[in-house]
Amino acid sequence: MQLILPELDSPATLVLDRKNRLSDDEYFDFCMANPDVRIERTAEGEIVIVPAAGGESDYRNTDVTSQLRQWSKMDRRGRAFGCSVQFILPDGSSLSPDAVWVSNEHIATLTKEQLRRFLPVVPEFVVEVMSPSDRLRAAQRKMRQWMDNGVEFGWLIDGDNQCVYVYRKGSEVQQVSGVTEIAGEGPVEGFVLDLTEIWEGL
Amino acid sequence: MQIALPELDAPATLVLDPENRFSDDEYFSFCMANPDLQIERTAQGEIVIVPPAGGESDNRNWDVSGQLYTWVKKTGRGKGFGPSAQFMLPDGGAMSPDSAWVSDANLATLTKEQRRRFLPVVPEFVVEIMSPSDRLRAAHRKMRQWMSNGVELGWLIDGDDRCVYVYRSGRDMLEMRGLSQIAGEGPVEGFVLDLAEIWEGL
Repeated sequence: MQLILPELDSPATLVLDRKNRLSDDEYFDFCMANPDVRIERTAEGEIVIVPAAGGESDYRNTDVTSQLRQWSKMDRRGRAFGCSVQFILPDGSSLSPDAVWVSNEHIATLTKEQLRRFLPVVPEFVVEVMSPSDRLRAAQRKMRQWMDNGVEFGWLIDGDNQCVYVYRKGSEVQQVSGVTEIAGEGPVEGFVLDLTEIWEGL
Repeated sequence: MQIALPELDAPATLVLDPENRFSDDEYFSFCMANPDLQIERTAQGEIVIVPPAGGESDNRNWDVSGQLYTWVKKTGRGKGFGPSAQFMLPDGGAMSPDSAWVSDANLATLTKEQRRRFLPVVPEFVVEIMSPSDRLRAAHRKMRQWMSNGVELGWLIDGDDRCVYVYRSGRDMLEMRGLSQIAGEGPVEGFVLDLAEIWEGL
């Protein structure tokens, strides 16, 4: 059954009847059947349809993932991913970060089969870059969900307001403004993200 | 945006961001863009996607609509509607009953333009027939929504259980069993629905 939706300015949630909740495999198949749509799943099994990010967001995302990938290749202790990968988290939700780094140890816990689908592992480091359809409260809620699920270190980047919200396991969130670069900590110590192009936008 | 939905055997709800609710026109366009789906809207602006009813339900609906049609033709009073008609209700919801009857006086309030879209009137009489994807609690909730929006007489027919729940404006709901027919009251006084074929099913 095809559903034609108008272009969305903000995420829409599809709530399925309890009888129709999707298993992890069915959810993966559903995402694969909709390759042009960004989809996530809440802990309650609700499907969240995320509107396309738009040019400037994609530009900012790509900047972050490129820098992260470059560093991780040099550092060699883990792998960097972009926004197509999805993680199945302990609370049952399935989320895609804009950029992410997972240690080799964590990756080693996955079978070859698991590596080809959504990853049932918690990344150590995530970056979310706010897009025009994001609202700050929802973006912060998503960051807290990452942290509650065991992420050790995270950045929420607000390009329009030129600030970074830094999330550290076991600490209060810290808002950092007026910086042109930001240094990674904990699992990604040594990674320095240059923020200039992100602040400049498109 | 096109989404391939998973198979549904119960209604799914699409919850839009409160700031991005569909206007009545957008909602109408959305329904028209999805002619193969039965779609309704709650008072909160949530979109409910109802799976197709299936053969036996459709046959029961057709039976009721057919009998109502015959009576309307004979009396020349008011107009009958089937399950494609949708009524825009005072509480903001938009619903399609399986059968409905609207008085001439009520219809006269509509412009020609309004008659070609979803009808911004409250029918005096509605019939809902339970389909396999319906659950009793949800079906009663829908009946209560009809009544709280101003419907005068409503019948909820459970073909499998051979029971009719009679909703009358300002009175308690009646559960009626052991009937082979049921007489209309109030706005549809004189209409008698033969239940034999409905109880027999397919």
